[in-house]
Amino acid sequence: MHQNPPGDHPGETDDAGRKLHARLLAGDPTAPSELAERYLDRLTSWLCAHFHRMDPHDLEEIAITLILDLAKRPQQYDPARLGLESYLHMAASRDAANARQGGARRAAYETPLDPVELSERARNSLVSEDADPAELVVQREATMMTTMWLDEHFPGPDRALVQLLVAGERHTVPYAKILGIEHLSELDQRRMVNRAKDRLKKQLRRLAPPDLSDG
Amino acid sequence: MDPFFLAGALLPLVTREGLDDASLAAQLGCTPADLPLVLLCRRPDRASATFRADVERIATRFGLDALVLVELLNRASAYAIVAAADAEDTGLWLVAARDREPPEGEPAPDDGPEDEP
Repeated sequence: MHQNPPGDHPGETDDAGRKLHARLLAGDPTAPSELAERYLDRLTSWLCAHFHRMDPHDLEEIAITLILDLAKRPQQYDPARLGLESYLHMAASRDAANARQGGARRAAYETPLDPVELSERARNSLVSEDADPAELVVQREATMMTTMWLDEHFPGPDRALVQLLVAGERHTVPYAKILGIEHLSELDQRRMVNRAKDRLKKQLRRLAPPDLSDG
Repeated sequence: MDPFFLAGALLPLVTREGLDDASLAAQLGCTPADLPLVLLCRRPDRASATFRADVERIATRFGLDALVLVELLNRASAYAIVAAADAEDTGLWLVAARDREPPEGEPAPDDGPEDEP
């Protein structure tokens, strides 16, 4: 049996992460192995807990790719800004969100019946192309956190309804499509949509940070 | 396989000798449970001044014999060279076959059958 790597596993200090990162930078041949041993299972579990609607195998793949990539290019992580585990969580969330968006985009191509206004690419972007790169990063992180938060609190069709609410969608049709009530009369559709919107707004007010409940 | 990791360096050995996890672990002198961690070590660079120290570091960490590890790496390198040479030979033969002039009266291999009128 091999010697255990130094450092505690759960609750490991940032200091241990920093030391391991320094060894990766120095080219220590055993450091990549220790990185995987310490963080791979924990990162996979963390991803599964936060992205529970995604395939666990996809999430494991994301964690493996991230760990191997960090082992090969440790300079992508700056220990002065963030603990190693927090960095891994952040990077893994971004990759998982991207993977999910990729899946959603593929699904959208397979069922091209959504109204144009539902397509993110068809709407105006709030971010101008010459925006400050730092601001773009902050916005991307904020989007990522919002996505995670929505996933956690609004499973199933509610997730898509909340997204429409937050985006300020006022037409009944997109909501009715998600609710699967297009066959009902216009009046009944409107009633049911309003009921669902009221319920979700209440839930949002109870749960959401102020910037989410404004929509 | 990624050449950055020991796994990539040992792959030609595994392929050529048809090793499974258990037999590779046995050759390395580690437990099958430790094998993935051994293979995730960074490949020691033969051209680097730290080659010997790097091999010893891996050996110490996983309780391996450093000389055995070097011998396995050498064998894997030899197989990789042979595989590369084989691939080059195959490529040469393919080029030779493609460039061969057809015998007189025969159509060139690339000429497809003529359309029926």
